[in-house]
Amino acid sequence: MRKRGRKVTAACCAGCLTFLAAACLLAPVLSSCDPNLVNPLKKFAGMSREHPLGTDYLGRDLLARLLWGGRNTLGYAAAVTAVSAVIGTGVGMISGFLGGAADRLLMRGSDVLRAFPGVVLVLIIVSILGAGIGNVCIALLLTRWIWYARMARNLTREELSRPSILAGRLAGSGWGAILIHHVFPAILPQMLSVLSVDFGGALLSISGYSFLGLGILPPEPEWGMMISDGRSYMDKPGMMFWPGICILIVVISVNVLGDLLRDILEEKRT
Amino acid sequence: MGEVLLEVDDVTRAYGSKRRGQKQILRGVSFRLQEGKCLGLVGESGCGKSTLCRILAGLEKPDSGQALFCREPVGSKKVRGKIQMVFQNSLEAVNHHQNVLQIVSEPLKNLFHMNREECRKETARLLEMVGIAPEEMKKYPRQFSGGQLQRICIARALGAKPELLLLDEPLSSLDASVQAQILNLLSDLRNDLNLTCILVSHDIRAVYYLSDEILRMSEGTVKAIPSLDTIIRPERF
Amino acid sequence: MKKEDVILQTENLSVSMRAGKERIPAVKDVTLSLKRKGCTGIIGESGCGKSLTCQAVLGLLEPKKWTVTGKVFLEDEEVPITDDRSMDRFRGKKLAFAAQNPMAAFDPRMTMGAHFLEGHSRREWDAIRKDAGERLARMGICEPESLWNRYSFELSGGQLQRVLIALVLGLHPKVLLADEPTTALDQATEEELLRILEDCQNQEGISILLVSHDLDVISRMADTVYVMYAGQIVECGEKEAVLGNPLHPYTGGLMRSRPGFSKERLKAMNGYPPRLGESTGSGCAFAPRCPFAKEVCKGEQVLREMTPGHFSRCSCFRGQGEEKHG
Repeated sequence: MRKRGRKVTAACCAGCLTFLAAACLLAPVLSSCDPNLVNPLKKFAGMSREHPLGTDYLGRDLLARLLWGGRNTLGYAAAVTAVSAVIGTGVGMISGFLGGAADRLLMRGSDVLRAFPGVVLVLIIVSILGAGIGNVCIALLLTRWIWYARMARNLTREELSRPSILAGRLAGSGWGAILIHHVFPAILPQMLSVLSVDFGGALLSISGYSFLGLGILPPEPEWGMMISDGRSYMDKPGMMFWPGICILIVVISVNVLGDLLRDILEEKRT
Repeated sequence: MGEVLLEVDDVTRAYGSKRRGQKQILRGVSFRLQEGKCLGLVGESGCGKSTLCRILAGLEKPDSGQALFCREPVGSKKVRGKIQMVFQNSLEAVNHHQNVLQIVSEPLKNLFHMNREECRKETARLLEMVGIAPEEMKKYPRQFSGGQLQRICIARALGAKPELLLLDEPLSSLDASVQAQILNLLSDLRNDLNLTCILVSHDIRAVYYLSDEILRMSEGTVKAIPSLDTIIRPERF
Repeated sequence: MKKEDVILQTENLSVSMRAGKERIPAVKDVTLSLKRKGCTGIIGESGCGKSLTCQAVLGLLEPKKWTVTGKVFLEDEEVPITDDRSMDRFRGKKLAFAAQNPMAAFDPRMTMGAHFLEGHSRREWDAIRKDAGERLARMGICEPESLWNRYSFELSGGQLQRVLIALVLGLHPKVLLADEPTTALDQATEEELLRILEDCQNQEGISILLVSHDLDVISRMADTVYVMYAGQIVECGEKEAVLGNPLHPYTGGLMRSRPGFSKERLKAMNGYPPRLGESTGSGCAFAPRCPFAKEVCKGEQVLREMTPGHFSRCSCFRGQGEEKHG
């Protein structure tokens, strides 16, 4: 009973995510409007055949902006997550394998980062490098990879003491082969569950910094920035509603999927 | 015959950090092992048997003392692959993401640089030797029982053409009726391949069955058992 | 066996595992009895259901995962094995349990002394200390006083197992269920532990239900032996009868495959025991591994009395006589 409910939830979440991602990818097909085309005559237009979701305060088509904005938001979030996961996992595995001074350095580094509020750190980096989505991504990368490194390092340490790894060493496998063939497949599921939850975090950050005006620069659309635009026109809720609901759906879906993945893993272990 | 294969001199090992207090696991273990012989090590769990095994396999460094294999320290490049180990829990000793072919051919690839076809042939031969049908080489570890997996682990160890086989409690996770099969297998392999073995076990009957001499380990040191009569208890039925 | 001699009796005890809607049988109709001041041994391999039987008697199986049916009687009283709350009256006080892994039985944050005193009022402490000290000294633990302030991780497996037995016997139970008590121990410690169990039996009059995979342990301790295979009792009776003249090929095979103190080649059984819940069909579960299997073995086998007091679930094997010829 519980298992079936879980399957349904997982399917719903995955379905929502795929639907949104596919819609954003197919933006040029789904909407013929130019997301940046300003038409002052048609501002705050209601839903119509021409503008299915209406237009914003500059008369730009909301659906087009939502879809093209989703490309930016989801794309950058995915890129940040993927790059930080790859770098972090790699560094963490090597650090866990080497042990000693390098390992201690990494752990102390991540302790320092943990003690420091992440938002402040990103703001500092962006203030040095200047605003812009590229710099926000760099700042996010710099603060995020270390979590993957820490997680991968701990899991690697745990794996390395297993007899299967010892047997691999006796079989003459070098440390590269051990990490790739023995450690990586074993820690992959856990890393994936962290990754899926972290993707939600990255998406919120990208939208958040764009909302603050530090990320994507206008007129390029982006969900967070669209919400920020809509803030000045509270009486026209459509401008905030559609990007807001998209962010909500994506973040909830990835979090639920990540949690389910972790639950399944834990069940498998016991 | 009679050539000393392994010399262990006053090996010590402690765990824990100096600040928080160390636990001395091995307090000076010394023994010699001749080629073709099988040495049995018996002792209570936690007496350092497994630690000693890992040191002999070169997987851990002793704090002091040395273990020489053919006059080379264990763990050095020249000894690579010549000492193999069979672990206590076969389910934990294999990578669950690899199939039997990949598991058994790991040493073949690394030590003898065999290509895929050679690996397959050699794996089939090794599996047959340990009593597993070669057709099962595409299966994954979860599809086997503990006894079958232990056979597969033995096949993997034999693939490296070891001169010394360390058996760390190879029976303790197996059922009584399967233990006998594995003991017979080990005894056959020893006769066929003239293997030198160290059998670590808490089951003194099994050790007696396979070994030429028996050492008793307690509190981090080894003592030779002077006469087997002192440990044999009378048959009850 | 006279009824009044029996202290613990199970009737058609069955345990099945819940997997979704399915019920996978793990223990099938186990009926066994334990004599007062006696020792009954259950022997079998992993997955045969011997530990489950033991835990079912104590009502330790989680009802979410396991379904337990059948009855258990302690003296003349029925033990409410499926009612967790009323089991508190039996567990510890009448039915004591010594687990396989003594390390897991102790709370690592509590000293040994705290374990002994737990649940007792302050007035009783001195008496308990004295009683436990005497018991531990009898069990060959030197300086029981120094043990008082130590933690479970500071002790060896053998010491812990002895302390655990001292602990459970402190409540003066009638029956001790020992589930593989010697598996984690080496030969010398095992010997000592068995001596302790014998003392409990002889001096304190405690009846012991001993579960083990080790024939030596069973043959030394038990007066009555039950052999389990794939969740069923395949052979039972007095120790001398069962181990002296096994009437089920599994028992015989088990005895012959054991290494003795000789270099003679072991007569190992073929094949592997079925895993927990693995279907064995309606016929004899042992038939696929049995050298004497015949066509009749495909039908259902019942536990039949072969000689007085000696039961076997095999219709074609008649003991060692046939073995020599066949």
